[in-house]
Amino acid sequence: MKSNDVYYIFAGNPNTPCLVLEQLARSQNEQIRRRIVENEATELSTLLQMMDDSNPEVRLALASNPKLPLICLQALARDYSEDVRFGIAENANTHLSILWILAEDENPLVATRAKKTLLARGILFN
Amino acid sequence: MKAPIQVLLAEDNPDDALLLKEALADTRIDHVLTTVSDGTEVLAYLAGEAPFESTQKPDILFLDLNMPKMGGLDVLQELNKRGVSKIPIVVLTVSNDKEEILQALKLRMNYYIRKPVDDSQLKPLLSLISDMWYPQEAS
Repeated sequence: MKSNDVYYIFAGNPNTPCLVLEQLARSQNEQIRRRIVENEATELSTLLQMMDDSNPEVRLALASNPKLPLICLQALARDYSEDVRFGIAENANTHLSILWILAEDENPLVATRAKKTLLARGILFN
Repeated sequence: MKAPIQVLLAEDNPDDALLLKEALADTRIDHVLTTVSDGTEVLAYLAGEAPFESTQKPDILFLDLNMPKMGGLDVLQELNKRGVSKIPIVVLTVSNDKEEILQALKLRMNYYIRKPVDDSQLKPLLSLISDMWYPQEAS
């Protein structure tokens, strides 16, 4: 078993202390960082440090963390990665105000996806 | 230089205890191993009660789920009642029972290892404990 396997399990365990999670958040391994942003025990301060994570999948996972403030979601809705914006647009739990931003995205795929999600939530377009 | 990791092993089976002892030795990470053989001894050890008044607080607890007098899950439950322990708790089990593992997770288990234990599992685990759990004690 490699170190990363052990670290991955600790990264996803809600019983792992915040201090350890904070250190694991600096891992070179993106899967470990992704587990950190998915972990309900990860503190907001650690999540905020990961807003600029180099990996789009980590940033997208971050957008799904319920602890993340709306203002941060707004920033992620303008992420340079289309994959991140698309992922947020297709998430049925994304806040309506964020979906409205994405419905006007410069990328038509992202915009269409956001509109579909809004439609599924009962919001109709002209 | 870091202090040796204080390892408390709660295991009633002498063969399993020996295997863990050997696996710990194979990691070549400096440690001191203390073994107790049932759940009541774990609680007494952690509370510094007789006959463990002068023992050092462990840095990590390896806890077998199936022990006489008081099993691992009961120990976890009792530790939760007594307040949150900062000691990382690694559950040892031969079981594949997901419910049992989930129950241990709810009771603040930090990690679990299916027996038999080997050093490839222990080395990264002890490194994490030493470097991240108690980083302030490194010098």
